[in-house]
This record gives sequence, C-alpha cells and structure tokens, in this order.
Amino acid sequence: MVLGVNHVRADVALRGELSLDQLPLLSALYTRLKREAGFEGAVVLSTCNRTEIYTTEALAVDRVAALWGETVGVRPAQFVDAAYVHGGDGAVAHLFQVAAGLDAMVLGETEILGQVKAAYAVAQQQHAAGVLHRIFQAAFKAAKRAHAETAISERALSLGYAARELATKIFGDDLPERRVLVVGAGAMAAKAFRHLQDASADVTVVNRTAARAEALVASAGGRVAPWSDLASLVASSDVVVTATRSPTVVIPTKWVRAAAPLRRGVPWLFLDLAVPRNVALGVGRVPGVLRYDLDDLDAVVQKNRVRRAAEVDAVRQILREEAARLAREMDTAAVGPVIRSLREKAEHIRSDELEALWRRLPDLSPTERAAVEQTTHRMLTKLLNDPMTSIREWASVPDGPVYLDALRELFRLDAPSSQPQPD
Amino acid sequence: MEVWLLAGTGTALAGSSVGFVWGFYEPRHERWAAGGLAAVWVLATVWLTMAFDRPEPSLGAPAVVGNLAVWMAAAGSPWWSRRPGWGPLAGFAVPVLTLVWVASQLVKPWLPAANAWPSPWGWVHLALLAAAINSLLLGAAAAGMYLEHERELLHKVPRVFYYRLPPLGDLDRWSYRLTVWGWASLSGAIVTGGLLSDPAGVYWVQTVGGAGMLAVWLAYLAYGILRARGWRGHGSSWLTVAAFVALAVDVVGAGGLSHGVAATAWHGWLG
Repeated sequence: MVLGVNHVRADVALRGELSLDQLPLLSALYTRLKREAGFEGAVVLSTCNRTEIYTTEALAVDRVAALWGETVGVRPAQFVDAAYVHGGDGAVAHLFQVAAGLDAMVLGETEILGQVKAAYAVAQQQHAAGVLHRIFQAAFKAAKRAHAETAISERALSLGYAARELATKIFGDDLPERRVLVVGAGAMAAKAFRHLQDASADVTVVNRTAARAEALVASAGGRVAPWSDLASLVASSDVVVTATRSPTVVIPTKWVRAAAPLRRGVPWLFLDLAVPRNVALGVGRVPGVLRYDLDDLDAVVQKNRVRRAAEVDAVRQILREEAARLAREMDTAAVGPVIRSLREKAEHIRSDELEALWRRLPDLSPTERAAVEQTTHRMLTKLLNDPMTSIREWASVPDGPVYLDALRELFRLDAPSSQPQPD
Repeated sequence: MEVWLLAGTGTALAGSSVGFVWGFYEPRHERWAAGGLAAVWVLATVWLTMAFDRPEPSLGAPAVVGNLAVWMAAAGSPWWSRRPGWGPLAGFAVPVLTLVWVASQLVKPWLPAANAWPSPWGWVHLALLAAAINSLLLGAAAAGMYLEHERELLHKVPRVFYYRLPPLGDLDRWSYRLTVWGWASLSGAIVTGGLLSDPAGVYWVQTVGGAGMLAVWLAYLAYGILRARGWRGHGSSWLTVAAFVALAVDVVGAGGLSHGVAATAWHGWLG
C-alpha cells in the first residue's frame, strides 16, 4: 500500500509541510511505524515533488496518515484531500512508475530512480524495509530496463541541458578537449555553465562584472577571463554560450567571419540564450558555424518532449512485464516453504521409522538395510509427487493462498514466512 | 546451385539493407537485419568454397571480390553490430555494399578468378581489395552520415538522424580511421596486383582500370595529407565520399567493363 502526495495533487506549500526529507523526521516516523501492531515493513520516499509512504496493507491507511501527520505536525484532515492511496497491485504499479520517471514532473527523468534507491537504503538502515525488499528490488530492475530499452530519458527537456546536448551532438567524445566560452554570469548562463561543466568541458566564463563571473566559477570550477579579451576568446573557443543582458549584439559577424577559416572545417557552435540576441544573426550564415538561439533550442526541447512521450507506452509495457514477473516470483516464493516443510516432515517420519526398524532387526545386513532405505525413499517420493505438483500449480491460481493455508493446517506444518526479512 | 546461392545472398543482403534503414526509425529491426547478415555469411562462405574448388571457373574476379567483401562485412557483424552508433552506420553502408555486390555479379568477368588460385598473390590481392572496399565504404558511409547530421543541425529541425546518428566529432573520427585502414589495404592490393602483373612484364597503370586505381589511391593520399594538416569536417567528408564513388566506378566500371589491371596480368601470363 502507498499513501502519498505529489506535485500533481498538492501545491509547493503543502508538499513542504508534509516533507520528510530531514533524517530526524524520517527516523521518528520509522520508529512510530515499527511500533504499530502488524508492521511488516515500510519505505518513505520524500523529494521536492513527492512524499510517499510505502507499507503493507496490514496497517490501516488512517493510522499511517495519523502517524505521518503526527511526525510533521500537520493534522491528517489538512492533507487527506490532496493525498492518494494505492493498494495491492496498484501500489506496486505506482512504485514502478515513480522509479521509471513516468510520474515525475519532468517525464522520464532519471534522478528519481536515485532518490528511490536512497529512500530504500535509509529504510534498510532504519531496519524498516522488511517485506518490501523484493518489491523495491523489482522496481529498480524495472526502471533500469525502462531507461536502457527505451528512449524515455534520453532527450533534454530543459534549455540548459539542451545546450549541453547540442554541444555533445557536435563534438561527442571530444567535448572534454574542446574549449567552451560562457559569456554572462546570470541565471541562464549559470545553468548552461553547470551542464557543460558536468560534461567535463573546459569552460571559461567572461562577464562585464568580473566579480559575478568569479562567484559562478567558485562554486563549480572553471576559469574567468577579462571582458576585454572577448574577441580572442571567441576565436579560440569551439562552443560559445551567450546569456548577457546586453541590449546590443555582443558577438558581431565580422569576428566570426575572420576566425572561421582558421578552424579548417571543425564545427563552431554558438548558443545564444539571451533576449535580445547577443550573437549577430549573420554569424549563422558563416560556413561551418551552427548558431542556435532560444527559439531554436526551444523547438528542439519541444520535439524532445514529443519523442519522450512517444516512449511511454513502451515503458508501461516493460513495467507490466516486470510486475507480472514479480507476482510470479512472490507466488512461487509462497509455495516454496510449504513444499520444503512437507518434504522435511515426511523425511523426518521415514528416518524415525527406519531407526526403530534397525533397532528391532539388528541382524540385517548392510545390503538389506540399503534395500529397505531405497524402497521407503521411493515410496515417499511417489506418494508426494502428485501433491507437490498440485502445490506448485497453486502458485498461479487465485485461491492458491487458501489451499496453502488448508494444507498447513491439515499436516500441521510449521512453515516459515514466505517473504525474506533482510532487515 | 550457384544461381540459388547468389539469389539467396542477394535476397538476404537486400533484406538486411531494408532492416538497417528501417532501424533508423525502429532500432529493434536492427536485430533481424543482423540476422540477415548472418545468412549472407553462410551463403557467401559456401559460394567462395565452391569458387575455390572449381577447376574451370566461369565467374570473374569482380564476383569473387564482391562476395569476399560481403563475407568480410557479415563475418564482422557480430562484433560491429554491438558497438554504439554502428547500427545507423550499417543503415548507410549495407545498402551501398548491396549495390556494389550486385554490380560485381553483373559486370563482365575480366579475370577468371579461379585460374589465379594457384597464385597465392591472387588470393591476397583479391582479399586486400575486398577489405579495402569494405573499409573505404564504411569510411564513406560515416562521412555521409556526417554530412546528413550536419545538414539537420544546420536546419535546426530535429528529425530521425538528429536522434539516431552519433555526434559529428565521432563520425569525423570514424570516417578518418576507416579510410586510413582502407587506404592501407588498397595500397597492399595494388602492390600484390603489381606482383601478379610482373611475370607478364606489363605495368598495371597501362590499363584504364589501373590508371583509375592510381588516381583513386592518390586522392586518398591527398586526403590523408590534408587530415594530417588539421583539415576536418564538411570538406573532408565530401572528399571521402567522392573518393569512394571514384573507387566504385573504377572497380566495377572501368575495371570491369574494360580490360583491367588483373586482366592484363592474366592475359600476359597466358602469353
């Protein structure tokens, strides 16, 4: 079962109030949950876009909501309308969708998978994950398959990331060896700077106010150059990103036209993220130069969004397959202990009876003893063969759990729990 | 039997070409396209074995080179089809390879290839030529991908190649490396061709095909020199494509329709 709020159902303020991303709060909630009668396991996922409590249906939803509210100091009545609850297969499907990024604000984002893994790791540290172990492992596997086998997470959906993606599409593995120039130090320039830094590019920042450029570089590395060197820096860079508030063009066509022949056919990328434009329109007409402005990048992002959305059906299919596999594994896991227990009980009876027989007939030769042992073993195997087949079939029938309970009762089997207890 | 083998090879190559091109839109189709290449490998192996054993050949060297080329491409497919970005490369290269193969089966037989089997240089010459064709074809395909990818980036309208093709920098590097390998193989093929010609006392450049091959070789040499001096990208890609077209015209055109280098050598041998 899952109880939660997300960016669709709750506004930022409510999500903030219900957030459990601080370890003390999380720890307090886990402690409260573990004290509950019938507790079998829980995992709390709390990000900026969602807070969700995964547990089993052994705990009542109202009780979980009460414990959550008690932990964060919010009455359940204040968030019950914004919250959603999924049970059984619906909860598993929801977890799979969250892990694969289908339920994320940015469709197909991969960051959420890391957050789900981190949440599960915390639950393990708190010795709280319990019976949810297998379900979360299956969710990680399903999400990995979704990202590997489809293009759901492949294309940039933000302008900053699109700038990096474009630079990568041009220079590929060579990007870390290419010179990147970021002109400006505002918010947009900072986003592009960080994305390009993440791609291991050699980034230089130049800004009219050098102090702002230094502040930007101080947080993530890179170099700062004086504004007066702009023309020579442009000429020696392979990727030029501009995002200043200049009302006039910062990079005129003549600079680019003069330097273009020296590049000997190596592509030259200009990303103009400013409004009004910082790079002259004529730059795009210089041979070998690719000039993208905000509108061009936005068109790429829109196209990417459409292509990601086209992958959703394929991802859902993978998630369905993995959910079905999980269901089969859990069903099989449920009958395994019963089979083992029944076989052990029968074998125990056989060995006890044989011991008694050896005491009554001490003169039996080793050959005769072996013959008796083999005969009783074959009898036992033949006798149990049909019941074992039936029990295995019960793994995939709706009434299987009822039959298993009846079997346990009938033979007085003391089967261990079917679920692993890693914590 | 031969007709059926060739029909099967042609069908499998055509199917594989369609699969790889379709793979631009649906990458999963690359799997059965690779399966088609596996069939090509089996059929070409049988054909080459039969050609090797035949005492009185009726087929010429272009047919042998064509089958050797597809055999090599197919033999390497389990390796290259797993490399990232090589599916799209096959989408460009396999259809061209198919056309080259079809042409190689149709042109006039200018060397009774099996008659050269007693000469190890004959085999080495043909194998090197097939390797050169494959490598230069892949180099030209990578260059073609570069030009197409660059065109989409310049038009700023992302279509299928924007998403499926490897980065420009990678394509430029692949094209260069494959062309260098191809040029080295071509040099070897020319030298071994010269060794074939030598007993006849003729010079291979005396023929149309031989002179064309020298021109192609010089074009690739010029390409290598320009690359060494830092030349990259658009112009470099066009030269790679143009040089391969010249090679194809020479091998199946001038060399096949007229009396080419190997034909001169062989007729000279016959005395």
